[in-house]
Amino acid sequence: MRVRLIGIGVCYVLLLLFSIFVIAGAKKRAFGHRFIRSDTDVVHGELYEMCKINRFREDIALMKGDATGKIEDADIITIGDSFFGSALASRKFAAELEAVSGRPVYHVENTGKFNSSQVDMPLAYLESISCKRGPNRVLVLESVERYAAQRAKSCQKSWNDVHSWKSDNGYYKERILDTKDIEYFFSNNILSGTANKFLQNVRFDLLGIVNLPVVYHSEVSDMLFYQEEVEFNRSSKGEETIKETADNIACLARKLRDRYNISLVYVILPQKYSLYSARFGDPYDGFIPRLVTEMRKRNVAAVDMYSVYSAQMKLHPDRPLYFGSDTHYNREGKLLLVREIMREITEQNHKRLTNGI
Amino acid sequence: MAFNSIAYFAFLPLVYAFFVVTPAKVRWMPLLVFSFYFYMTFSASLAFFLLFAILLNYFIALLIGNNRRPYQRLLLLWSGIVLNISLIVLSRYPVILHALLPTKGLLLSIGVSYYVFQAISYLIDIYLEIEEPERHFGYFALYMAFFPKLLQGPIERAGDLLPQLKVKYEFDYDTMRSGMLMFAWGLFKKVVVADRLALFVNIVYGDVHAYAGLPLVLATWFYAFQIYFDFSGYTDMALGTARMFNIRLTQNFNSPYLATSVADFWRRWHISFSRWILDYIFKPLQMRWRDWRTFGTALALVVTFLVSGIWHGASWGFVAWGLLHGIYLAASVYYKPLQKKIHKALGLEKTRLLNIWQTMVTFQLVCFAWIFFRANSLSDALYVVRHLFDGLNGVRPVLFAHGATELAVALAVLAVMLTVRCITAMPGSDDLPFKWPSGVRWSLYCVLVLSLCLFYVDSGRGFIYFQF
Repeated sequence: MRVRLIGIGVCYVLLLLFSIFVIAGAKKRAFGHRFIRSDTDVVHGELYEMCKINRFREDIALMKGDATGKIEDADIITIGDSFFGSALASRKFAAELEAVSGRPVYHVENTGKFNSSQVDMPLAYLESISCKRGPNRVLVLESVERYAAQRAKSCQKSWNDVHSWKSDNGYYKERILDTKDIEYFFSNNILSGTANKFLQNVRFDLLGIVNLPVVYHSEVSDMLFYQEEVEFNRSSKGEETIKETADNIACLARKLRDRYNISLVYVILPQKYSLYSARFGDPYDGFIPRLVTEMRKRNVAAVDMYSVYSAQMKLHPDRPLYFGSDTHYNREGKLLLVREIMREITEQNHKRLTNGI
Repeated sequence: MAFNSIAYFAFLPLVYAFFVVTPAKVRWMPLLVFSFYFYMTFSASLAFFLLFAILLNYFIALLIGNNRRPYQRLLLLWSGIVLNISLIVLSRYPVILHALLPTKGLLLSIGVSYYVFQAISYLIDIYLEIEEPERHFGYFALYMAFFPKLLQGPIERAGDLLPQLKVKYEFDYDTMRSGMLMFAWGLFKKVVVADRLALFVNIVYGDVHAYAGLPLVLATWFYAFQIYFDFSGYTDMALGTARMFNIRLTQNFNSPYLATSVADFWRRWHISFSRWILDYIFKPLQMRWRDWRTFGTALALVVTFLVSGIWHGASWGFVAWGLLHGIYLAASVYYKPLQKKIHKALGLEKTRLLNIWQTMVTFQLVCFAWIFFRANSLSDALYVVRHLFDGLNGVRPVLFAHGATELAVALAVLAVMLTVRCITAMPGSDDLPFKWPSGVRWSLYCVLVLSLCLFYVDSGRGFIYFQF
């Protein structure tokens, strides 16, 4: 009995020490960083980071270099989500667009100044920086397809709405109450993180199970997908949703033109799963082409990247457009988008801007 | 910080350490501090609700206890009940709160109704002089906020929990072991069984209009098991955690899907809540309407379960779910005498065949009601009901949506749960694993831990009953 109690005591003390280590590592960043391996200029794909399965690990260089334009003198302004913020194996979208167009491009980063997402509320953002009506400019507004309808609803919100929306979320969890950092530190430190990684790989090797929210299909073995993308692909998007979204975007385009003399080019980027879903017996419901058609009916300049990428994939099936371990496009996918944006700008005859391009 | 989160596993040993090293007189302190911290990780602002509820009920209970005038006692009781219920209404229906207060904060009603129900039962017990009011504020606050039962119950009576909080803690190997095993088993139910079934259920119920016939039936059956393993898993973890501190909470489930009638189901499902609504809603109503005899009882049942539905949230689906159960029970009041005669005439009384038949029928009735509980809207639920028998196609894509392995594991774990149920139903199976030789026992522990590591589903989902 005595031996048993000593054993229990030792186990408990070890457990207690480990608990203290995890909590301290999570809450005291300077301490925690010592126990986490991290690269500053190479990443391995966000989906890989979620599931930690070695087979999908890629080394993707993080590229430096932003667009150099300023908001006051930029011909093209870009607002978008993580696709526009992505610098995986190529510079950010705005920098590539600036290089190709030869015109000053200003990219609106998600900074602390504006506490909501600019891509959700571009009008509110322009209000918040006291943007003035000036010579004609182009706003390239991008959204990944699964958020397009939702963002179209909020995109016309004014600064006052945002201000009150901000106080809507009147409470902020103090850092001490947040437990996500504990989860992160546990999964990534050199002790339990290593054990966790080993476990994930054993689960995958034995059972083929990959941790949600990552979805893995053995039919395309080099690719991981994001569960939200899969769910979006499978959900039904009725004509009403499509028309309402198109109406909202058209309204935004009118307001931008009337208030700021800004021409809108709207881009909906396909999710990786939308491009590959047919291989798993999940047909794509044509959300992007349908929405783009509706937007064009309302005279909104819109780019159908689903059709562009699909055509490219048929032409070069061996050249991927997205990273296998990430949800974002690779360099080739990004450059195709740049090309299409330039074509759209030209076609829409934004005279002041496109003269000489 | 849900029970199935890493943060909880990190904090629990720490709380235990503080609990053990604190002098016996003030041991309630670390538990109370951590209970508030635990609650605030979900919603910092709701901690004010909890604090308000504690203060309110502490003082009202003292006032009732110290007052000898019946009219004033009744007035105090009713003001306490009204204020408590207004807490649920304000947290559950934030529109009202927004209208009253300038803040428009998003408020989640996590756990509010559980501690409010507990507080109401406490006030009534004080009023009826079943219990003495607790004069020690610390113990009372801990009775209200004790973290294992704070979010989803069980709804504890003061007479059961308060005395246990005052008992001097002494480490007991068997209690600690059974607590840990109970916790691990609850975790298994949640992350291996319930969350795995959710993978299939969510496909169908996420977009019901894309399905008809058998996929809807299967998804509803799966949901019945998902919600059971989710909730009973939580309860096991709550009971297991409490047991580590030498506190025994009320069992909330007793094989509900083996019930032979809907009334029997409610004696086995969410037992502490069923008892609460029976004692504090049904019985007073039945007494009030006793002159109407059978009709009065039936009406009291319908109203009680309608209230239960509304308690679950501001959704017509919950109202329909509650109403359905009320109708089932009200119908059985009329049907029961006839049922007995039929069984007697057919010679089926107390036969195994009848038992199986009644269990199956009850399960289907309960599943039918779950449709309204799970569907995203009443129109979705009605669509499911209209298309339940529209053919047998479309099952394969649902079952294999996450691959053959997931399906195989799902079926295997359901088989495991059934086997465990059969073993534990055998006579003399109480404390069964602890009666086995240590070799067998330790092998079982290892299998359980290994299964948790290999087969867990990292869904990131909370518990279904958190929202209530």
